[in-house]
Amino acid sequence: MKSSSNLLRRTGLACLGLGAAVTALAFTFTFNDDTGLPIKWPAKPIPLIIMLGDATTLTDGSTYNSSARTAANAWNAVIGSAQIQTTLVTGSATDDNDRNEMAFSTTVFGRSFGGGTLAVTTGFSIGNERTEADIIVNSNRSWDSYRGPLRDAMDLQRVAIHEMGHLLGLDHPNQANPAQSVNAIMNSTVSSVDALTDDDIAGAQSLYGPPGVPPNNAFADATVITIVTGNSVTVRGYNTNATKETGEPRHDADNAANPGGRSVWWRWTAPATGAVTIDTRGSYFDSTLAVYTGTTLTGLTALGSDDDIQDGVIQASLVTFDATSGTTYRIAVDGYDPIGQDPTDSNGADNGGITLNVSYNAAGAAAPIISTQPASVTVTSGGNASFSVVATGTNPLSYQWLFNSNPISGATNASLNLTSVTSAQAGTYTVTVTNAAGSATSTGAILTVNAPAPPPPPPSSGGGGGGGGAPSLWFCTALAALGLGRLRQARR
Amino acid sequence: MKRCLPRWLAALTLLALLPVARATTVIAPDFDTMVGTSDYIVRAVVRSVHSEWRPNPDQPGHRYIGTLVELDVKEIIKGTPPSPLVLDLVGGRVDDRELTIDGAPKFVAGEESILFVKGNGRQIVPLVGMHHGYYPVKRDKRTGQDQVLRSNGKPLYNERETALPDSAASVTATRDPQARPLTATDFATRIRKSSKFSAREILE
Repeated sequence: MKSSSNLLRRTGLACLGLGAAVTALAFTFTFNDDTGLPIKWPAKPIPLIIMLGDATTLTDGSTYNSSARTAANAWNAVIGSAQIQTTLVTGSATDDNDRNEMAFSTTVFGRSFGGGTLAVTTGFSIGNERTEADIIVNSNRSWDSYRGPLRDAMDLQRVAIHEMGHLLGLDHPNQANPAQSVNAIMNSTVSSVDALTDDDIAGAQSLYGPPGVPPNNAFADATVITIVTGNSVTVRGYNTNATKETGEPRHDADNAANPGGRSVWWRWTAPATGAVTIDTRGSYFDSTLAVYTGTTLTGLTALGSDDDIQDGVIQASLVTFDATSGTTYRIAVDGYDPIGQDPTDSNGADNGGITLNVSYNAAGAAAPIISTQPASVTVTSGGNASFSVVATGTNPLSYQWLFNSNPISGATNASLNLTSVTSAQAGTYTVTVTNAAGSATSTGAILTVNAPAPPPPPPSSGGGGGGGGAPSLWFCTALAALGLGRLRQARR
Repeated sequence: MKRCLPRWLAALTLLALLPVARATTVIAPDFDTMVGTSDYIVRAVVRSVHSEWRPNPDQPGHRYIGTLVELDVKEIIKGTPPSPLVLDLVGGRVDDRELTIDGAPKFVAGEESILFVKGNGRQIVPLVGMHHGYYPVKRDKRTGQDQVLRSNGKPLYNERETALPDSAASVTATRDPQARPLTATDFATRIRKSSKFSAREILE
């Protein structure tokens, strides 16, 4: 069960990345293996005591302490529900003392860093909640603070931004599946990237939301959900910094001990009569979900509510109901508030990034059936290839082609045409056909790309020909150096 | 000269493909350095994982969570590991409390891997370059053959890729499309070759 919930969570992450079309997001988190949810701080300031020192003036005019504080402020500017609250003091860090500290040291828990390790973030947690984190910077290395390309002395500020990302709960971006390369300061490599990138910010905001109150905080400001194609849609949002309105019902009807308190609203009008499923799988916190009819907050009729799909294990929520064509449904997403179980807990309702999935099966509609599967194709590199599918079912039908299980941006017709094919496009192509009653996915069609025939041999005389691209200066210098080395060796 | 040049070209081309591989938390070691600096290298299956509270030697009165990972060694590739081989790491989980070391691999009973062990009991994580010294071995469902993965789950095609950061995809983009992931036997052979080369260099 542990692995399945993790798989669920990671699948959710992958879907989020794919939804971003051209440049996929790759951020990921430190997870609680039991729930599959990220381990993060509750919605309140995160105190961090910085003990790096103020004695040395660094290249950018900062000190170690102020450089690290700048790193904290970089994260604070982009996240909503928690802020790293820095204090500068003199001393050395202590682990497991319920204080978050950042300090230089040669050891961590009496152990050496090991060759090449620059800094380590250690994090204690209970369940989904981080309770303490310390950042230990390897004092055996040489440190400075500067922007731009790396120098011999390591830039403390970019390493501090990276480590504070770990402190917040971010892990190194997952760029293995799907294979991709994402620019991020949370990458496991230090580079000329010296500030937060879109991927870093998206990851942090999935945990803590952006600054400010969500636009759909109030019932009257509910965001409208529209299913453009097929029979389902996924929308995203946040409930960080959200509040509960006067007269608003509790959204976990089965558990009076869960008052919630950070609710946001959507509304959706059923285009046809049929069965509806709404869930919060892929959200980054322990959610609560409720669906209502009614036009005023005090006049709502509940159709269903849920806290956990599986109590304490799958902490996403799910509601099913039968929809009537033309009726508008009000959907509330709130966070689980443990105060009913633990009266000393003052953190309020859980919160973070929301993924809301809505799907319906229209009564009387026929789901798609693929009558002609796409066929495999072999082409020579540089040539063209096309695939097509024929499907039956109630119109309108929508199509999405996939390459090695990843959706191809813009490939939404019954045919897929590929021009100037390269070997990188070789692989398995499938198509998913969707309508209001369901979906069907084709069998895989293989695209094989053969190398082009070798060019004819050059003429034996005359004509200089174009030649290849010039080798780089680096390449030539390296070759020359190796040649000289060999020459010297031969002379000896 | 005619025989050597292609090897130079091959080596230089490979070097040109590798970006500067320094991790923010770890400076990724190159393959020969990993082999040369390992105390021992083994192919092993995790028999058991046991986490416990321990006193913190840096701060008397405080404690931390450490983990013992007992291994069934299937193959010794370099060095003479103790028997039984038990890795001693910082981090782990006791009841509902967990200590996470970001960048450290998580060991699970029954999983097989090739491990570049260094500083067992003395380093935070007793592997060369933390996760850079950890290579899970999985069976490929399509071919039925085992294949070596990097700690991020990506197949390892060339031993030189070990020097890459886990997030890099640059070599993948330029790799020969006919290339196949290394099997555990392939990887062990290349480790032994590097190990012999290192030993000869030292003797000279």
